[in-house]
Amino acid sequence: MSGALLPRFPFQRSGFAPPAEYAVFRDRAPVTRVRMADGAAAWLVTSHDLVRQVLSDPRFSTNPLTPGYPAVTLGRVDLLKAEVPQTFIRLDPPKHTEVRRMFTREFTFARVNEMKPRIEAVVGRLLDAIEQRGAPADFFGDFAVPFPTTVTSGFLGIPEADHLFFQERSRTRVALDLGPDAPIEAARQMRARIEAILIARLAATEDRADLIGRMLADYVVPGTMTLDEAAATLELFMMAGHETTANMLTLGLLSLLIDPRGLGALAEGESAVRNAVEEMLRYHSIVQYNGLRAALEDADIGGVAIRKGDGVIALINAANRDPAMFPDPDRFDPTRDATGHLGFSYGPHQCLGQGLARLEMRVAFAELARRMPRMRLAVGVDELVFRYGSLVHGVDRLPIAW
Amino acid sequence: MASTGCRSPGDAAMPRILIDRTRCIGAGQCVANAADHFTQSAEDGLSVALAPATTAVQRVAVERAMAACPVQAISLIDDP
Repeated sequence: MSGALLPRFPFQRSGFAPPAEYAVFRDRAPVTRVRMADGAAAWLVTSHDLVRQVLSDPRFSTNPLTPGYPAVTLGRVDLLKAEVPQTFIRLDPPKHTEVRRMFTREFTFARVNEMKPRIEAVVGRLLDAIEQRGAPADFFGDFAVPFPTTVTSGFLGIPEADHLFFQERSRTRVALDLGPDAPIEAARQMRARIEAILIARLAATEDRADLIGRMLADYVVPGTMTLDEAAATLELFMMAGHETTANMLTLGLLSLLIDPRGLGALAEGESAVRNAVEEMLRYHSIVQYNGLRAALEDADIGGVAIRKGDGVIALINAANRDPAMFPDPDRFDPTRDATGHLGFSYGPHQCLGQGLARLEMRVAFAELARRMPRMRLAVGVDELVFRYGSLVHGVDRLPIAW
Repeated sequence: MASTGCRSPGDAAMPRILIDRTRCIGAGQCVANAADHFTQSAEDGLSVALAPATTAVQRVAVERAMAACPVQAISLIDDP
């Protein structure tokens, strides 16, 4: 498909709002052609039902090496193609299923719940430090970044001394405005450090206290997984645990603080916190361009004939603002029932760590509401700097007072 | 189809919960929505059906679990 005269994807967004084009396309043609960074055309899918359908359909590949895979930026495609070996989120069934299942036991509902006391302890420590330093604090830098890093690193077995190293590089890795070289170099450095950590741990593989220990003992030592594959998987878990939760917490808090009720919206207890967290996931849908697919076969989606080798973008943040699914979708309403949102995607690639992410968010917001019920923004909303040049949406700083 | 199911004696009219383990991806949404009716294997993280729903409240929970499953791995079957 050639795309010379088509609208150029991606479109510009503004603050919380996804690009205005998404709603226009959804109304007129929920499967529509756009032009990608490399000049090729791709199909943009913007309605909730059709996005869900594409994400469930095995005829659409998630592998960046499949012909037709959409190029959001040229650098991003270079980065994904340079990821060797590929992790399971970039693989199609049956290989995807096989590798993902090696790790599902780590993220069960029961296992995640066992982590709750540790998560509460981390939240408590970080809020203690913020209170001791006094207002204003930068919620993003002082809480939202170190919190998931500390939880995830402890669970995986990443030494504390390496936290900052990985935080900086994961930020660079999801940047879309730095050209192709910086994200690839950040990925190379992350991989080298992870391999060094794994090699050091190979000396004591009877230690099963963290995911690294279990992965080495159960998969690497018996030869089910190479050291390369183990390093790539660990890197995936690090990335998935860093940027996403940090930015969800930050934008989620921001949307609560600009609501007249503030954190008071969470005062009614556990179910209020749960609802609010689901609404944050729906409303912000912070991964801006996921649902990238390439057609392995011809397929009919919503009456549109998609051909083998066509690129498809099943746009999750457009689906989550579909009025057919969520009435008045552009309003943030922490009391609404946001069930059915696709914030963790859908189909066989739905987020493996969603239980952990939800628990982190619920614990954090419950504690914030309890300890700082009168929290407010310490700057005007118009002073906030949104990160438009990142794969993961967010703000650079979120100054708060309480 | 590899499946697990469980049925309490005396629940003849209750449809049995069936999980297609070839589809299950261990997302845990069934347990999150209906912990009395689903659990996850500690060994591989895939879902395992527990008791069928016997009350209206339980049926709502099981239906929510079915709707939340991202890969439609849950079905209800009426045994003859």
